[in-house]
Amino acid sequence: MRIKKPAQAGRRDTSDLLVEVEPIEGNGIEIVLESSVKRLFGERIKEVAEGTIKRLGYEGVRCKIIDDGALDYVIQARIEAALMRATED
Amino acid sequence: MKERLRRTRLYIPGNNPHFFEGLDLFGADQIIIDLEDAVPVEEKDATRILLKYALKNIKWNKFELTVRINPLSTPFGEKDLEIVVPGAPDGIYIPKAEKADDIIAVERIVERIRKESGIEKTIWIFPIIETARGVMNAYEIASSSHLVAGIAFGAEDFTADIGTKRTKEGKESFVARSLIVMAAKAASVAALDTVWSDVEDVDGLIESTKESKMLGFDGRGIIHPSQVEPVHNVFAPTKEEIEQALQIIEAMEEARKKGLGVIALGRKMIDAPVLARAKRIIEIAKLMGLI
Repeated sequence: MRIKKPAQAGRRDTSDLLVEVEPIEGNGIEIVLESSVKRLFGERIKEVAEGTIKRLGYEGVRCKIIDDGALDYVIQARIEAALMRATED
Repeated sequence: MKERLRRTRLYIPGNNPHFFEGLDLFGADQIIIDLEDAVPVEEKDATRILLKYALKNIKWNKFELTVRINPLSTPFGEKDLEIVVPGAPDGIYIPKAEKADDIIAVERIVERIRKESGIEKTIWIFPIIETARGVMNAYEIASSSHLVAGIAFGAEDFTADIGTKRTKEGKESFVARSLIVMAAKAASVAALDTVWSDVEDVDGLIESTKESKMLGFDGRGIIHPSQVEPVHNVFAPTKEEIEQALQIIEAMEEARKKGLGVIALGRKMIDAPVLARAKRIIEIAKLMGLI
């Protein structure tokens, strides 16, 4: 499945994150991460983000994440919301 | 459980995951994750998804977990139920309930999704009455479904509906609150009073909660964890009430052994309603760990 337009979800706030997705050419998934806990958890956040996008069946997505210590379930929720918004007409 | 302690119901905005993490620490009897007034229209979709993941991933166990959905008359209400019910909360709050059909419509959707999702637990329904029409139909609402475990009052919308404003004394809603208590008790469900919105005014909260208890309410709404303790203190039976209740129960037991239905304890006649009240006091005292 492909997204149709850029969209975002979430907030730059404690325990939350801002997710911005946009369509890119090809079938790849690019994750760009800014996080206050990047040094410790950067790889884990990217893994959760990419896993969520794939699980939901999307490809051709650039996903920028600005995170402030969100738990995995929040990352998954915000990515799903951004993708859903980016797919709507 | 249909009957349980519901002294406090703490409203938590549904779109802020930061609040979710500490819910078990607040000590409220019931938490309401709010999808309605606390969430702007443009965030309803993302909030619903956040809640779906929260219900699946967080194991809260120190309170009764409920969700306030949007009314079914909006484009959001049914979508809320599609997400919330599979997450198996303990209850659903229905805002702006005005007639039995409002509850029956929610009950049908809840039961359908519950069966489709293979959820065995009961999901209780708590209608919120916040209009003049709702107040006049309070009994019809309270007795509309076996899933209704309590009815709550919402003073802000109610006072706007009848064309007045809310005061701390609450005279403008006295009749409405009394009618809601009567309806709840007649239908054997909990009566839940409105929220106290001024977090700074603890004395006002205590006085208002004393009135709630006096009118017959079983609990009230709150909007901040600091309001839990003052409200629980008001609803706690006093030492004297507990002692008297124990004496009444003991005296009634003695009377029963002698084949008597009514007896006197001191200067007071003890009969079935007095015994029922005494038993209720002991039940609450036990639940609160006071005895």
